[in-house]
Amino acid sequence: MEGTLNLVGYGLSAIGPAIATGMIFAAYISGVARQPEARSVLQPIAFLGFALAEALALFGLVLAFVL
Amino acid sequence: MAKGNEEGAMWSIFGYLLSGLVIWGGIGWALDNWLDKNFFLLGGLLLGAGSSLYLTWLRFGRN
Amino acid sequence: MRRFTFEEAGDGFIPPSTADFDLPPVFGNSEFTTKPILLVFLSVILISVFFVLASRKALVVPNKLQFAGESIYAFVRNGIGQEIIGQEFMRFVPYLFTLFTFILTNNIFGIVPILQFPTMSHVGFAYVLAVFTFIVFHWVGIKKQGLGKYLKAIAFMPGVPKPVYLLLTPIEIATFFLVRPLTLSLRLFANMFAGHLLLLVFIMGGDHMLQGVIGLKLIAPFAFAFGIGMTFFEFLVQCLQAYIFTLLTALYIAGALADEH
Repeated sequence: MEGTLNLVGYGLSAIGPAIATGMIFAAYISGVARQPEARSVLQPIAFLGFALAEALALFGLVLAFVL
Repeated sequence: MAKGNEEGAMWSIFGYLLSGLVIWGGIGWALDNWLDKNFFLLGGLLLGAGSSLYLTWLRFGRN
Repeated sequence: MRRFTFEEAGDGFIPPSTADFDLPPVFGNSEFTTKPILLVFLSVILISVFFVLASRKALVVPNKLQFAGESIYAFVRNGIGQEIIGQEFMRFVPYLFTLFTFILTNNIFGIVPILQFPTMSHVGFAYVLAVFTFIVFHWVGIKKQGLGKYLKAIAFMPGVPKPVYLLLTPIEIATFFLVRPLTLSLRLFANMFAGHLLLLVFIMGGDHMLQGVIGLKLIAPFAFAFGIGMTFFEFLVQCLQAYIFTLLTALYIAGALADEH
């Protein structure tokens, strides 16, 4: 069996953003479910949080190829 | 782009982040190889991530 | 990259790899008669026959076949077309409907017994679909707004100080012309490829354990049971990927139609 350890590192680094994205959208969904009119307020916040978390995951992806 | 649809918005945010990192990180990587340094890659990645986050804010964050 | 190598120990289980996706020609010696290509033709025949049968004798009170055909059509037309594209959606419903049924049928081939191979796990098929979508949504945008205005709307986000365009314009252009078609095709390909590989791991691993010592024989049923469970999960993923591909196509068309996005 052979491969590169970078991919193992990428797998590990993807755990954090995955949990973060899950928590962000869980909070967003429960917020909208409780108060549907708050959707327009919550949506930009949820998307920006998602973007921040996803940026870290993509950092891991890019560095796994580059390093 | 259609603001009501979360699924589409998520994928287009993903697209922005990916292309920001790849474009500016790629430029940094090329500069690294050309000038034989090692900090342009990190700088390019940070710049790309920052500008795509700004782009995301412009498109989805402001009301 | 830091490479690592493990020496092969034990009785030599060969894990499934990308080589399992290169199938020999089914008949003849041509590379145009491999399984995925035949599956594409089969899917076209199946879809045509199904929808011709379903719509041939349209009744006011639909029978089962007509109901099935109509509910798929209504799902694409109302759930994707009308909701995303809005006013002009009827022009795009034929394309969206063809795309959805074609991808769905080819994906579901992955879990149909005997066929059991998702066509889209060969990346070339997914690329072609993404190229079609790419041409359609850019063509629609250029036709609606004119070439210069369309490119300007893509490249220059309104409401930004001028020097920042130096940072943002390359990203926008790369997103629209490179990342969108690439992610569209790679998402479909990667899901089908990984799903098929996952099923191969469980079924082939179970088969290998069945030939081992008695302890391994006792574990083998769990591997098979997990493989069957994963097959149902795959069904979910296959439907979802067909839906997402069509949904994103509709979203891109809607974005190209909108005057400013």
